[in-house]
Amino acid sequence: MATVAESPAALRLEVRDFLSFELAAGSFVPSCNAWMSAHDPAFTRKLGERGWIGMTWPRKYGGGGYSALDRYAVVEELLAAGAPVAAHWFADRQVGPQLLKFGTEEQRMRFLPAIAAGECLFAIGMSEPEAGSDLAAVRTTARAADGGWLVSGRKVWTSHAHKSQFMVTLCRSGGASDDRHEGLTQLIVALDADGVTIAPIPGLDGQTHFAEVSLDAVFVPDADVVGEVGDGWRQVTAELAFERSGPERFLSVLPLLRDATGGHDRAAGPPLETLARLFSRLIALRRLSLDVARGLDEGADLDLDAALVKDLGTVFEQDAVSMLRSIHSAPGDAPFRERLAELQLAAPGFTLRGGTTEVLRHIIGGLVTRR
Amino acid sequence: MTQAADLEEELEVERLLAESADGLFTRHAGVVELRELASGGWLPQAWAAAEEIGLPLIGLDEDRGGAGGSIAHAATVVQAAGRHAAQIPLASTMLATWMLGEVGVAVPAGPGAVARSENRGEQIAGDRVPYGRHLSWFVLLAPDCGDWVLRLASAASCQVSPGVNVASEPRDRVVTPRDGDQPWRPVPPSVVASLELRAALLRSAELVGALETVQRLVIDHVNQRVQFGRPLARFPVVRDRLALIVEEVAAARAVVDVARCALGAGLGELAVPAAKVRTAEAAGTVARLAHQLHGAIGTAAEHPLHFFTRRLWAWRDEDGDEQHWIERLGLTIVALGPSRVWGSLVDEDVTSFPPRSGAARG
Repeated sequence: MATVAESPAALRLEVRDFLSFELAAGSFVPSCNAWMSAHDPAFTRKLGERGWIGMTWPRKYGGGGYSALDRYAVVEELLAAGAPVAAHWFADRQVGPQLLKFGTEEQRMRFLPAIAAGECLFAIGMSEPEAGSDLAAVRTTARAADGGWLVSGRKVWTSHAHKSQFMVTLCRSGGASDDRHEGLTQLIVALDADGVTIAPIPGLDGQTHFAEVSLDAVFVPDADVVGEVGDGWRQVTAELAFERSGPERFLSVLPLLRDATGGHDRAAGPPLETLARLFSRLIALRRLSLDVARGLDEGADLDLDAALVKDLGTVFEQDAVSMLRSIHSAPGDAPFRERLAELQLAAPGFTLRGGTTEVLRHIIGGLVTRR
Repeated sequence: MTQAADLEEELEVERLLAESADGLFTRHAGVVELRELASGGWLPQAWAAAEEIGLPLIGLDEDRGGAGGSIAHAATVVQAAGRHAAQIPLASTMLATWMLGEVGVAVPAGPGAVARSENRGEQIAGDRVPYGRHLSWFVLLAPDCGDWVLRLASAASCQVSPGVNVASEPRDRVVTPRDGDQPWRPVPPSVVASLELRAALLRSAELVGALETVQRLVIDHVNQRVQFGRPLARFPVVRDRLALIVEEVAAARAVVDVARCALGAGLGELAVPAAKVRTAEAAGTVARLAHQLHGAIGTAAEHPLHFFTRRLWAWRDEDGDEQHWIERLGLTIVALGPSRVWGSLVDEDVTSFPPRSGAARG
């Protein structure tokens, strides 16, 4: 059963205690980019037991009734420690909040407690071969059928679809319209349903975080439509501030950055400028991200702020990978180099996932010049 | 626990302070006044107005003759001054006033500054003292056998040699005989260390103010300037550069917000140096991009942009140049090391520990 921290500071310290215990017990190996790459259902269940998934959701749905800032403290400590959180990341960040906002009571009762317990794993099917940054170009179709929908199409770059049970799928349910943002619908596809084929997409780093999901007339009952038919675009974009502003947008590199503060070669001296530049950027990013979390608690419109966090954060991550190459540490050099090499191969994705640099800057430039 | 309510109340205080300071500078320190200033000049009317409502005494306890408030509030006011490039000795007077309060010396009227000397020989000399020629008094700070001492000196007892920074703001050399009317008093090392952090914070806040105005000028320009038949704001590459400016300004403001609260809470060993490093970096990037987007128009003396970009270039290396604070921050990070650096970083942002939400927690 979840233990409730007596004070906010204690909540953060409770997570640190838990992590040092689990680390000592060997239940995880810290890694960079863990929210994308470290998929560990057993660890996810442990976090579920502690009440650290779905923290902000109401208690009747398995949540903890915490504030967005409480959740921020917990996920930030998990990311900073390089804990394996990928298995539940997207469900905790997006699926849960979407079901709370748009889902039916039946859907909430069916899915949310299981997600919060770390037992129900979700993927999110958005991108397609012809729809990357231009999400409104999705072609996967949902045709009305007796008691539900028949869904056909292909989703790509779907994180961990091959290890998940369900996929929230954005598809086109209406006829042709002048407004491409109309006629889109989100529905929940059971990934073990007839007509679903999942193939992992090996990445340039040799890992398989992503998958391609082919849907061939997959039946989805009416009960599994999320929100209103035809309202998919509004529902998807409503969650963008959550998706873009979290600490995962700048903490993918934190375990390596922390290691870089110690063990310096005496002859070379510590790389003061590299550390000073990176940490001063990190301090700014944390505050910007915390400000968004605070604002989300108050229901503010934070599209601009969230886009700023994501662009500044992911460019920071890439710069960190580049700048940390200059670190010459004598003791423990080999593991540092290995991690750096791993991160180098993951780095191109930092400024792509969740909105590319180019799209974000276009949004930012547009929002501040709008009159 | 009422952390959330405290935060709300604090934000409201800061908002009111910024609003009244902005109003005052709009009335007395506009671009019209700046244009009429000779190199090394100042705005005595703006100073008088600021002094009248007690702005220079913010950050000094009321029982020491101050206006109350914390260094965080002082930074808020200085940030507003930066937004207007208000050419008055506000930050320098705040720092000197606080210094006198710490050693229990009554604060004289009028503007002042700390003149820091490298030694205590026959003559005491402080270099690049802001607004030296326009001041009424100086706090002479000098080393004394490994410790620090200070004494108050009237402007009449000092010789001032004029100089200016790249923004044509007065930065003067102040020289005076070793001893004067007032006795030398010992200064605790912690006060000297704190003076450096306070100065760096106020300078960083002033930089953020200037950055905010540069951003506003750029946005106005790209919306109004038409080339190739459309406003510059419609060109994707212009939007990209504009976005970079907005990002740099947001980051600079955020790190100064962290530093301001940290120093106000007796912390800041990471956040204040980080604020100076980050604002200095943003100053360079934003000034470069702002001029690029303004085109040749922005290089004219008549255009207001340079009142702010020249200050960005000057201020980023004042109160400790960019390299000084890079080394200071780097050494602090290395001293903390892998086991402590993350915890300290979290602690330095006082908003890291979320306020307890009453809802549904019981």
